[in-house]
Amino acid sequence: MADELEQLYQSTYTSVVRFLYRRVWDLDRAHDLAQEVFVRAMNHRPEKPRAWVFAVAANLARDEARAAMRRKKHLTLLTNDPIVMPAAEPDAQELVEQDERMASVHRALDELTPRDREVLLLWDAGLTYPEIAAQTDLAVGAVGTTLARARKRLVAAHERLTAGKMDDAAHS
Amino acid sequence: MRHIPEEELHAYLDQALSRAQAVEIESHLAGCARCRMERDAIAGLRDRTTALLATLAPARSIQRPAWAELRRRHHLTTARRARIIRAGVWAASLVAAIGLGYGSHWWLDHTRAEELAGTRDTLLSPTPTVPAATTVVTPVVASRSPAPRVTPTASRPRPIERLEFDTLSSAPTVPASGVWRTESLERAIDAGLTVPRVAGLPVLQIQVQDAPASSSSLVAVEQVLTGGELVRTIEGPADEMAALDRSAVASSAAGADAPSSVSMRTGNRMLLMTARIPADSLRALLAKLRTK
Repeated sequence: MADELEQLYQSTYTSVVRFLYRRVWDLDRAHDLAQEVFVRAMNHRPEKPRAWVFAVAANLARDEARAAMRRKKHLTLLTNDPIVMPAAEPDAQELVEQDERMASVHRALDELTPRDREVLLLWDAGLTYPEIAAQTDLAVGAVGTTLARARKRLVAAHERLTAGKMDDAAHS
Repeated sequence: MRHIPEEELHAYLDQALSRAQAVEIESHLAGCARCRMERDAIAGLRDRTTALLATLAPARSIQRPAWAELRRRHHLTTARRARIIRAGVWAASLVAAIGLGYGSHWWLDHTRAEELAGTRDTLLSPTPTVPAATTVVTPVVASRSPAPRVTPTASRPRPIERLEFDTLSSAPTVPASGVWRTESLERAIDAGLTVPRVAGLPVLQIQVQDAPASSSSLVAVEQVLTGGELVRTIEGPADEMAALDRSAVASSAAGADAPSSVSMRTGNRMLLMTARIPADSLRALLAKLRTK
């Protein structure tokens, strides 16, 4: 059992970190949460460890997002700054400096509904339809529908965001 | 003719369909140009999505810590949980003890008051059972007997803080597992960490091994004596430090010039101080220790 978990750790740790990174946008935090997930798995000894690991990772990411939202609210209250940036903006802005391409995808992903985003990221992390269904309370048949919508919206949003930029570049 | 719905084509390309369903779709595709075009479009969309998501990779590469490191963390969290449970049980027993002590006081006062009153019709007088033995003192109908004075031993709490002084045979070493980071004194203090150091000695280095709660971080401080001897002080949760202590004893074959160590335990915290100086001197240094 311990070996099984260790093997899972070797094979999926990177995917879990990447999955978490796309939710919390902070690599160190993603590492912390991923390790927390595997430490918890050692306690729980889940029957379906792979699905379990991603389910817990998704929960931790959600809690993290809520906490971040609360912090931001408090900060807004404290600073009393008349110019308040939208929630996703500062992160996106930072990323623009690092990698503009990544920022546009990040923003496109932010435009999806939370469920579409989660299903898409879970699929990308390597989960199967039944595993995604179990985790998101969707019927297995609905996973395809959700993925179809999420993919279309992501690509459309990304094209819209980058097209705007290209126009700007053309005008200047 | 029924065309294949797009979600089924997604599921087909994602290999999420049963063999029978896949065969059905393939036979339809063989004879339907419109669905083949749709499939190709979806395959393109799918690839595009994967490519877009692939750009959402952190700038640094993802390094996987050793499994042993996670096992260590797991071990620590379970030990910590056990410690919390033990502390909880102890607190509960303390509350019970105080409660019983208080109760027995009340009970003694009450019986004494009755004795003084000298009433003959006290039918419900409690039997002199030791209050600590049972939580429910059952009143028994009894003939009037002088109630013996029960000293409420249960109400005397144990001392909460305990100090232990040991001289260890060998020096504790910084564990190889776990990530130590170097910290400045100001920053460490600002972060609310306990920085154990001997007053008046220059600090060479402060290293911190983080834990989920800053209160359970390990902090190692290296200082230097005027004679050039290094004094290393490590402070952290007692269970972790005890493990450190044991591993040090197991790993090093103590030579003649092995540094002496002194450990001090206060509640859940433990502190280890080590230097190549006589144990007496080390204890003198310990007396000059500041933890804030």
